[in-house]
Amino acid sequence: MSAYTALVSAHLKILFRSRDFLFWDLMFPVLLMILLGAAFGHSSFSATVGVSGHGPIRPLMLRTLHHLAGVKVVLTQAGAQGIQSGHLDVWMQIQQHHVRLIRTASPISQMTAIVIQGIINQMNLALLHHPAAITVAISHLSGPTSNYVDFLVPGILAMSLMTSGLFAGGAIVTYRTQGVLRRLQATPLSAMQFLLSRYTAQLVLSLVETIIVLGVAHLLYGFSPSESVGAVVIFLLLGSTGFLMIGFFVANIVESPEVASTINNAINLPMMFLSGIFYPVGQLPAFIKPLSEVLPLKYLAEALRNIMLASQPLAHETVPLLVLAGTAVVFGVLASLIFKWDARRV
Amino acid sequence: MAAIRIDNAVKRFGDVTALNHVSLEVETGQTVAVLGPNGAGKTTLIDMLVGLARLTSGNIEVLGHVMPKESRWVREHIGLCLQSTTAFFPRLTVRETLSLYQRFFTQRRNIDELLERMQLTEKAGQPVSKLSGGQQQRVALAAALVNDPEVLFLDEPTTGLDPQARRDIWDLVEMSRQQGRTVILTTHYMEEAHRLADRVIILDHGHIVGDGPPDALIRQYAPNQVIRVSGEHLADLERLGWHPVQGTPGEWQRPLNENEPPLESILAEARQSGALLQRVSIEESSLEDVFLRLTGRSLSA
Ligand SMILES: Nc1ncnc2c1ncn2[C@@H]1O[C@H](COP(=O)(O)OP(=O)(O)O)[C@@H](O)[C@H]1O
Ligand SMILES: [Mg+2]
Repeated sequence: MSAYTALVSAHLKILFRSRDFLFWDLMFPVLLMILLGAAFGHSSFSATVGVSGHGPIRPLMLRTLHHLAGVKVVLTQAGAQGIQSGHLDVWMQIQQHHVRLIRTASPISQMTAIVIQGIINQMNLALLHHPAAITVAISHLSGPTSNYVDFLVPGILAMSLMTSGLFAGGAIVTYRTQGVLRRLQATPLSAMQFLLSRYTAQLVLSLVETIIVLGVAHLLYGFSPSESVGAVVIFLLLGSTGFLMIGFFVANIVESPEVASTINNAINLPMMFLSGIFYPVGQLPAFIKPLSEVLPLKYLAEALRNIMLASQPLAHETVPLLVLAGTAVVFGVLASLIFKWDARRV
Repeated sequence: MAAIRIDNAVKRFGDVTALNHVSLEVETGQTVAVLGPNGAGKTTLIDMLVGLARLTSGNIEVLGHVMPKESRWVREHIGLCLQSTTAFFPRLTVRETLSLYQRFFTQRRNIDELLERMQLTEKAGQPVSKLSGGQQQRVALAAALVNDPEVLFLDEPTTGLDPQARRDIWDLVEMSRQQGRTVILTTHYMEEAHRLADRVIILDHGHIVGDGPPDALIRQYAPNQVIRVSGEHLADLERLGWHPVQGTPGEWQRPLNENEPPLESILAEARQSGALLQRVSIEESSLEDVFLRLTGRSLSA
C-alpha cells in the first residue's frame, strides 16, 4: 500500500467512526427527505364528482370519468349537501342534452370543472364528425406540482454532497490547529498527496451518500431515476468536487475551527434555502431570485433533477456543467495555492 | 561527516528574533540536548532543521543536504517528535497510526517489533486519544522511528509528564542513542539534559550561550562543589566559614572550590574546633547553576 492509499483508507476510517459525520452527513439528509416527503409528498390530484340526472351522454361520461386518474365518481341525488359538506368537489347534473356543473371556488373544484368541460367539448366534436382544426399532444414530465418527492430527491442528494464537502474543510482546520498537519509536513508526504487523498475519500463518501439517498427514496417512494447513469455520475462528481474545493478553500483562509464552522454555516444555509432544494426557485420572492442564480447548489440540484426525471441529455445542461466545473477549478486552484500546513505564520 | 551543520542561522518573526546568528555542528551519533527556558528558540531551531519553516538568513545542512531545498530527501531520513502530543489523527488506533506513518517512507520498520520496543503492544488496538499522556508520548516517539531515521529530533519529549513516564521516555531515548542514531532533543529540564546528552547546548533569547559535555560545562561555569556535614558539637563551625543548610537542621555546609583550602585541611580544621563529624558528603553543582551563571536567570523561573 502506498502513502496515498494508506491515507485514503485512514480518512475513510476517521469519517465512518465519527458520530457527527454519520448523523449529519449520512442520516440527516435522509431524515429530512423522509420528513418533507411525509409532510408534502401526497399533493397529487384527487377530486370527487357527484353525478345525478339522465341523458344519452350519461354512460359515456361516466366511463370517461372513471378513467381519469385521481377522479372518484359518486352517484347521488343530494349534490348540494355533498358540495356544502366538502364530500364533493363538483356536482354534475345531466338533463338530457344539457349538463350543469356546480363547483366551489377551490382550485381542485375549478380544475375538475374545466376538465369535465374539456370532455364535453371532445364529445361535441365527435358527435359532429368534425375534424379538429387544432390538435394537441400532452406528454408527461415530472415537475414540482406533479410529484413533490420526485422534486425533492435530487435536491436532497445535491445538498448532502454540499454539506459533506464543507464539513471536510472544517476537519482540516482542526488538523491544522492540533498540529496533525505540521507532523505530516515533517514526513516526505507532499501537500498535493494529502489533498488528493482527501479528495479521493470524498468521492467514495459521495458514492455512499448517493446510494443511501437514492436507495431510501426508491424503497419509500418508488423513486427511480432515468437510465442516463453517465450524466448523473458526471454531475455527482462535479458537485462533490466543487463543494470539497470550497471546503478546502475556506479551511485555508481561517485560523480556527470555530470560524470555519461559522463560515460554512453562512454558505450552507443560504444555499440550502435559496437553491430550490425544498421548493422551486420560482416560488422565491423576486428580489432574492438573482441571488439563487449565483449559487452552485442551484445548478447541481437543477441539473440532477433534469437528468434524473426528464432524461434531459447532457448537452442541454452545459450551463450547470460549466458553473460546477468552474467552481471546482477556481476554488481548487485557490485552495492549493494558499494551502497551509501550519497554524503559526512562518 | 557532520550530521548537522548550521551556519549563522537567523530567524525573525516580525521584530522578534527567535534565532540570532546560531552556528553549530553535530557529529553523527552524538546526542545533543538543547537546553533553554520557554521562548528561547528551541522549537524554532528544530523547525529550521526539519524544514518546517524558512530561515531569514544563514545555511543549514542535515546529513549533507541543504535545507529547506532538499527537505524531501532529508525527511526520508529523519524522525520528529513534536512538542504537542495531540498531533495525531483522531479515532485511529495506535497500530493504525503507526502503520499509516510508516507508509510515508521508503525505509519501513516492522510495526510489531516497534510496538514491542515501545511497550505499546498491549495498547495497539486502542485509539491513541484514549491513552495516558506518557503512552501518547511513546506513540509519538514510535511514529518518529517508523523509518529507522538517522537523525531523531525530539522537541520537549517529557514536558508535562509524570516522573515515571519521564523515566520511560528517557530509557527509550537511551535505546535510540545506543543504536547509533544522532539525537537532538530540546528540554528545559537540566536533569534530562545531563542524563541523556553527550553534549548540552544552552540557548537563551536565540543565542547559543554555552556548548559542551554537561560535566565540562559544569566544571567550566559552575566549578563549585559544596561540602556538607552532620554530627555533634558543630556550633563552632560558623567561625570557620560554614553555614547551616537551609531546610535540613543539623547539617552544615561550606564551598569547596579551587580558591579554598584542600578538603583534607578543611576537615582537619573542623575536627580541631571540637566537631564530631558523623556524615560527610560532597554535592555537585548542576546545569542549573551553569545556566544561572551564563544568563543571570534561573532555568526554572
Ligand atoms: N510563528 C511565530 N510567530 C511569531 N513569533 C514566533 C513564532 N514562533 C515563535 N515565535 C517567537 O520566537 C521565540 C522563540 O519561540 P520558540 O522557538 O517556540 O521557543 P521555545 O521552543 O524555546 O519555547 C518566542 O519569542 C516566540 O514567541
Ligand atoms: Mg518549544
